Amino acid sequence: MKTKRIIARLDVKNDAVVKGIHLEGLRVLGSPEVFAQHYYTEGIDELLYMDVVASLYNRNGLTEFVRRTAHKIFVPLTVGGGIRKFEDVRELLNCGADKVVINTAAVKDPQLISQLAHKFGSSTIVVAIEAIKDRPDGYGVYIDNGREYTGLDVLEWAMEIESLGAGEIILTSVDREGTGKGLCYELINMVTSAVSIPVIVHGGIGKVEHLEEAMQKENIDAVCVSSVFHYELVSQANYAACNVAGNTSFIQSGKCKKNMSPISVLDCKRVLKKAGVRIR
Amino acid sequence: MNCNKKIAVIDYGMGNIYSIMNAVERSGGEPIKVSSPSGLANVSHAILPGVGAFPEAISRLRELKLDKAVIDFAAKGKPLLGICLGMQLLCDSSTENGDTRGLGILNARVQRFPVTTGYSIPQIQWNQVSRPVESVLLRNIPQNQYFYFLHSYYVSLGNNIQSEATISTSVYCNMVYCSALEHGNVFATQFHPEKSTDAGHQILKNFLSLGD
Repeated sequence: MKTKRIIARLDVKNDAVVKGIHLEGLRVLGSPEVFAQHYYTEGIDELLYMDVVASLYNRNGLTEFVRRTAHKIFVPLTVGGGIRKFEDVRELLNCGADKVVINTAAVKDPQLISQLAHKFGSSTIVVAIEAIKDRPDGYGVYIDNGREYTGLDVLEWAMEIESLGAGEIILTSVDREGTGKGLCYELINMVTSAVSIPVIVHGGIGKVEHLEEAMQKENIDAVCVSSVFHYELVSQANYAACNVAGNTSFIQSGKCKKNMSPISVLDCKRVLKKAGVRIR
Repeated sequence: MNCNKKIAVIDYGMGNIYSIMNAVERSGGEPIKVSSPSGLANVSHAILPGVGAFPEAISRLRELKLDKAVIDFAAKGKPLLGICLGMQLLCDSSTENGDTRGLGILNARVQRFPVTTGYSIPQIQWNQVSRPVESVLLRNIPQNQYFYFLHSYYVSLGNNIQSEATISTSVYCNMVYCSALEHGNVFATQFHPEKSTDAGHQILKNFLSLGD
């Protein structure tokens, strides 16, 4: 039987959860631990931590977060952002991560995928694809949070990722990410029909109806969501985690809610179950 | 009472040791990381975790002389719990990346899920368990409880022990397979109790309660 998964994504910069539109213009939302704990309590299926600056500055500082999260949160934790080599992966897995996401490092050296899969297990290695509609008949692969074109075509790269032994792909539509305008089905259908490993789709969820629509599709197994859950938590009257410096005015202005209908994980699951979606 | 029970979590370099240790603590046990045979001497229970490929795992266990140590531990009648790849390692053999001998503690073979339209492999999802019989390991776990699965291979028990040892089944790729077993003092789950929230903790508590 196939059960659908909802994965909450936390983009982390230094000590804060951030959110951006088209992966630019990051806004600070609050403490990752508060977010993670809240989602866990509400029944999230998996958590994804992405360190959004690591790739740019050649650092990877997620291990402490991971360790603290793994201590209290007992659902699968996937971690990514700036992972370049064996030691990075080993360190994160030793801290409690269950899966790691690689992107730039895989593009620069595709054999790394098979080496990591061989060493740590295929099911541990997730490869991220950031896709931009830059050609009439397909999508281009980008790295560095959508800034740099790799020369690769998404469809070909997805098939190569599978053949190299990755266990999962996380496919982001950079065009839709943060916009709340819904998933890019053309992109998703193209990739899911070409690979047989699980594909987590990401980019564009703005309301629960988007999730309902996605999860009723046979070819979609897992959806990664950030904005609608983050903004719901932030908008709660008793949200006390905005003690992170910066951008409280952004949060209070409600500007982050453009095109978004925030919903809690709990309510979201209720709606999905009522619509007949098989989900935990 | 589970406190003060020393539980060996076997560390052979392939497994989410930290997660399991956290979960054991959460469930009231005292986890001890063990990476040599002598470490299994003074513990009451042992957990054999595993993430990765079967041949590499067996090879690592052999290098550390843990293969014999685990077999001896089980032969002594002490509670042994295999998780995910750990469950598979207890079997006679696996077809993953060739044909490899396992620890042979269970009369069983490990095989890959058949390619099935509409199903991704590995199975990476929460899935339900169906419980055909009562068991110690799954005590107080409701029928159709969800647990987290992450695997491409499954355990196929020999005819002589299949019905007696299977304590839960799950369905994937249009086939029913054993998702948890209990055979004397040997226990195993294909799913990850340490990643399955409260239901997973219940499983660990049940395991820890053995020998009370």
